[in-house]
Amino acid sequence: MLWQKRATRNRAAPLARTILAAAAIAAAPAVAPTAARAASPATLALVPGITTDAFYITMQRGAAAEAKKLGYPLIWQGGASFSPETQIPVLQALLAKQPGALMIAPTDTTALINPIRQFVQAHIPVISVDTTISDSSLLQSQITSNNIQGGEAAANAIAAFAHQAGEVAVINVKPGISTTDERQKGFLAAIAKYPNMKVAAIEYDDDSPTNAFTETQLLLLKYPKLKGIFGTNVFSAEGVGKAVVAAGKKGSVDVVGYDAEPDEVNLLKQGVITTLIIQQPAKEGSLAVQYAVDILSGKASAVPKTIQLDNVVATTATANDPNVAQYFYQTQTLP
Amino acid sequence: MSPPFERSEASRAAAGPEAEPFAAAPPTRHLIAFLSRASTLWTLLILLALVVLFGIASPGFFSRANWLATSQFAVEYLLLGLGETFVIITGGIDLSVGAILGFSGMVGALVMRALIAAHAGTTAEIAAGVAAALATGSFVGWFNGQAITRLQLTPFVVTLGMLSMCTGGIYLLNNGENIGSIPDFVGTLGSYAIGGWLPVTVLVTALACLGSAILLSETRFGLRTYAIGSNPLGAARAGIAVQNHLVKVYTLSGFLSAVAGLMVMARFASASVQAGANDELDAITAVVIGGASLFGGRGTILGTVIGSFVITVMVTGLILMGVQPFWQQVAVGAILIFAVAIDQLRNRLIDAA
Repeated sequence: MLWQKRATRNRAAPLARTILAAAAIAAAPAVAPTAARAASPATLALVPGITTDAFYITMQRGAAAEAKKLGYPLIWQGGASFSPETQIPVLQALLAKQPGALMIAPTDTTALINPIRQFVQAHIPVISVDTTISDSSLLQSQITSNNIQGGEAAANAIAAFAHQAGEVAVINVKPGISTTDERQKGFLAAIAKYPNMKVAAIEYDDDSPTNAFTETQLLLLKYPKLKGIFGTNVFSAEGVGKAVVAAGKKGSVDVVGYDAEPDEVNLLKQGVITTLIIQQPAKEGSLAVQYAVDILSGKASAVPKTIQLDNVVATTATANDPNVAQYFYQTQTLP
Repeated sequence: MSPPFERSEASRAAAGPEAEPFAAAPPTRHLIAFLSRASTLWTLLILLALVVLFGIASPGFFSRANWLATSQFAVEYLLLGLGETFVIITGGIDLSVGAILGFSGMVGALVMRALIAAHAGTTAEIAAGVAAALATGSFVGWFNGQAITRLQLTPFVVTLGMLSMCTGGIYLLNNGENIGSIPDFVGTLGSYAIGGWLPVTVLVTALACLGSAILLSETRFGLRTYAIGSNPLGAARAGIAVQNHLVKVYTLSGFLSAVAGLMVMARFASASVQAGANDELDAITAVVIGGASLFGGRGTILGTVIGSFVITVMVTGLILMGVQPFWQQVAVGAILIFAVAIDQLRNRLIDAA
């Protein structure tokens, strides 16, 4: 097994170099660029955390549109669950296909290091999208979402609703998840800047909407003057929103959620959730393709080592505005 | 087979409290009978102590809002715990209850959504969706029972496998997305409280508790359940079709999990892909706190009801007190160990007697 793996890797290297060389030729404007690119456009591979989630499907759409524009074929392949166990075999299969560049949303910060190293050793550049690995030396670029800014935006939304005064609460998933921890951190820091505002409680729902529901019911009882609640992910926001409605406090307690999955968008339009902090997976995908093409064209120095994208804010009032609705996550991939 | 004969045969095989012949029992038998009930008593005392403690320590504990929050929170634990009680009394375990909850809810919502698209009318949509969910839960439970009895696999392995399969199934059914398009009436009913105090979901759960209690303590089905858990060989010799009965018990557990799935769906007016996740251990905790023995033969529905409320009151009380959330888990774990320690002590006393 080990021997086979090594053999694959050795076979991979010269081929990848050929592709890189072809790409370099394509990039040199003096040597008939269009002809060279048409001859051998390197294939770009995008590996999501999970193929069925609207977030990653939206990422695929951004990447596919950009790849089409730049004239590169795109492979989109991933596991059916968000786990290294399903993602690593996909990577091993991809390595055999010799893509020109790999764009990946790693499902684990450490488990994916070795599989990614195999690509690097085969001279295939790797860019991380949304999530990342702890060994950044293997990556040409890390594109992430700014979760601190997202948390701040959530705090500012509640502050605006509450006229900058009163108590607020957070329903988080569980400690130890980097993204939701950062959202909470950004939220707490931003609330601290309002002298008349206070975070009354932080509860954890263990990713269960029923837990979020019960916790919200109890927080509304304990803190009757609560102005707003921040649910840090899809399921938190769902539970919070529905409990606020059940308690008859719709409209008097601001409900801020994260992401824009179809179900959440429906709740936003109904006013059950009043504000959504939306990430930009489509932009993450298109930037990844842009950077991959830059690297393949010999312009690696122009590619930033890390980039953080800010979040977009949608409210019940703006949910039908096309300028806002364009950021909602989609459920169909682009061909 | 006439009922009286059945009852006496099963009584001989069983050592469960319901099977004790109380008439003309010598004094030591009374002691044993008392001790077998002591665990339920202890748990009830723990529950009462919690209620008093939180009543003093957290303002708002004795309020309508807290009753609604606590009772609705208990629905999931209770419905899953009821089926789990039967399974645990037979000496088995069902790790798939939470996943069946989510899976059957998802199937029910899919059917409802399809019928809405076909303009089938609200009654047909709801009836078909509910039937589909209940059938799915029952079928998965039946399958568990078949695999355990026909293939001679341990319940732990079969239901652990089923937990994984159903969890995957939940995501496969709708690409990992919640299903929000179900008839409005389901959501209306799910959030309606009769007289402002009795949520419909709680009423359904109370009826399920009552039905389960009668089934377990007043029928042949219950007697056989205890008999199999106390002494499978003896039960078989007494003429009980052990394998068939086990299939029925796991089917019942699947059915009740599906009822739980419908309750959660009604409360949220949507089927959530995260519904029921990690619930199986909470259900088992409730049953064990309620005095059931994981070795089988012992356990009561009343115990499970008390066990479920011990957990839910503990969690809601601590939130109302404003205690740091991580203490909830510590507290539930401590009570579990305490309750089982009492259970063990009681066993030793019964053995000594």
